Amino acid sequence: MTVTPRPRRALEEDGPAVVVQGLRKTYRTRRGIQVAVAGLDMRVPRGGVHGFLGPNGAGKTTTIRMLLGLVRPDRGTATVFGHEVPRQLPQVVHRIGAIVEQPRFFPAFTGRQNLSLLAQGIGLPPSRVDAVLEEVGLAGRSRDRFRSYSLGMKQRLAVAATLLKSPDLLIFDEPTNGLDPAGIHEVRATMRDLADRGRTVLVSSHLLGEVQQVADTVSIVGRGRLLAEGTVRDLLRGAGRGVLRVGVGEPARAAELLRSRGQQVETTADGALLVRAGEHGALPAAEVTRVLAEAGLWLHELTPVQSDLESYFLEVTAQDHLGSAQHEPPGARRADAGEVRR
Amino acid sequence: MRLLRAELNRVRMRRITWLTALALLLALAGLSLIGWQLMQPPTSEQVAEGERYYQESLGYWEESREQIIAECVEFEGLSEEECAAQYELGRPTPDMYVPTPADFSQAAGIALTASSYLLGFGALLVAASSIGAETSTGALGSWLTFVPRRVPVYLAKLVAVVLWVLVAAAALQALLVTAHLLLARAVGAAVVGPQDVWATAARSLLVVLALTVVGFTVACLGRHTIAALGAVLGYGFLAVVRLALGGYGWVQQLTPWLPEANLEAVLRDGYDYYVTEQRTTAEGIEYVYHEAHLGLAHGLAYWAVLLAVLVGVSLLVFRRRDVT
Repeated sequence: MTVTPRPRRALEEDGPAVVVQGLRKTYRTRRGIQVAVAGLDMRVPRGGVHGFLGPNGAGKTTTIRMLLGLVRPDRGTATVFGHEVPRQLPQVVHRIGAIVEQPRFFPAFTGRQNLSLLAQGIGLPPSRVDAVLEEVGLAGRSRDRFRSYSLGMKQRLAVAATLLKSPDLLIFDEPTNGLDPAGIHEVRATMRDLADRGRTVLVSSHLLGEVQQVADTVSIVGRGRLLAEGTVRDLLRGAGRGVLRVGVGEPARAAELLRSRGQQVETTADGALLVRAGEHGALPAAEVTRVLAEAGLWLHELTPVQSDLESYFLEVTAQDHLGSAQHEPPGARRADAGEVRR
Repeated sequence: MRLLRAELNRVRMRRITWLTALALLLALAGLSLIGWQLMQPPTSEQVAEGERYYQESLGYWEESREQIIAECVEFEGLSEEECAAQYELGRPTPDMYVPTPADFSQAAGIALTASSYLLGFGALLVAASSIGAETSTGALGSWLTFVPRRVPVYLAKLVAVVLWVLVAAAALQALLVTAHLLLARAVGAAVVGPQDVWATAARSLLVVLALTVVGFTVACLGRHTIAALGAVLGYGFLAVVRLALGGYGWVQQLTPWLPEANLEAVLRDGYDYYVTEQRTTAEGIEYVYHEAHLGLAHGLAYWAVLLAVLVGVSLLVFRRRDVT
């Protein structure tokens, strides 16, 4: 899948692509009031791929729906390219392309008919439909009914629909759900390609390995609140800092020794030690070597641990009790969680 | 205009639009067949048979005259002259037994009236599914990410389906009338009163318009085609219950506020009904039947208000509703 380059208005403007402040959305259910989004703050920088991560039920899709004007927030504000949504959405919608959850089109219409209607609705010529179908590699199947498409083809048609408008901001909600490895690779490559051409891609997912490979920045949410935000590199640097994997002949004695020097030590399944900073800070790798050598313990492995997004995500969401949607009993006072930006 | 064009195309592309039109075309062909039979002059066998029944009936009527008038005087307490006048009203006439062929105006009028509800139900189905399918498949969400102004989106959808349905219904009715005209000429029936036929066709289109808007708005509120069909079936059940209770005066007094009665008033240029009044007299309980009339203007005003409320409420809901 290739993407046609175009002059980037987005790059000429200042400020983040998306700013969300204190966004809150609740639904009434039989069990009371379900808090889908609980005072979310988030900034999506302009350009690049921004991962919007969280466990299922963390409020990602609801937030995206609010950005697109499909769902009305109870409170809070959201702006896209400086335009408040949903009030000013009509002024900026031509710059947003989005796939929310699964691609949703008329099942009985062909791929081309579905796109033609969308193009007609915003005054685009039919040639634009042909162009985007070509771009996503669906030109050969464009006259088949949507319901006959595989999941990957449906996803590609949805991407084609988002490209109709040549948007500056693309929002993909769980774009790799149900795709095979080739399809996942294709979607990942498309997102990267779009970002490299100056567009902003906001991708929500719970598949962190996928996101880590493609995202420049991420926001992690849990129970409808922001838990962490920043560049992937900064978050991982913070997460993995000071953790050493130590291979030694007598791990129990070595662990005791390092604990006596104020370090947190745990033993892995293969007998190696993971050494973390304790109350008095971390021992540098050279100091660990010296301490153990002086005790006659000789290292056969000393490796700084590289954290990945998945373990970081698990760490921060575990601290948030791995929250999914919260419930408030009917009549309960609505209390927003404060900002938990790390 | 851009939105309206897209919505018109959407309705045109839908298979249900064409399947419904085809089904209606077949139904109208059936009505034309009935019209053809109504306009046929009676065969000589039918005339002879009718004449025989007429003579038999007339003979019986004349033979029974004295006995029935005597019973009338005895049991109903009327004078002999009054009973004789009443009996005279029942004199058999030849047209009761010898079939009289319908003229073009009568046959086309019957067909148009019968077609109104067929077309109306087809229109309701097309209109309900146009918005119902879009909501239930989630395609509406995709559409709103392209065109987020909900009021113009709603109006374009409603106007598109109304235009489509009215044009299709007018075309089908024109076919029906033309078919009756050709059949009338073929069987030698009298072609009189075409202006009445056009007036009936125009009123029939109003019925189609009303049911289109009902289908669209109810499906919009219920988010599914089935919601509109369910509402129609549910109302049909209530109508059956009302018919079962039709002997009660208070049920009859509801008639001016019933949608179907007002629809009939629009379709038939007025609707007559009876209200039963129960009186207690010295001789016992007496029932008096009052004839009442719903005019075309009442029917039009009633439906104008009802449709305005339905459109207003569904537009408000469509504008505010979360699309998930």
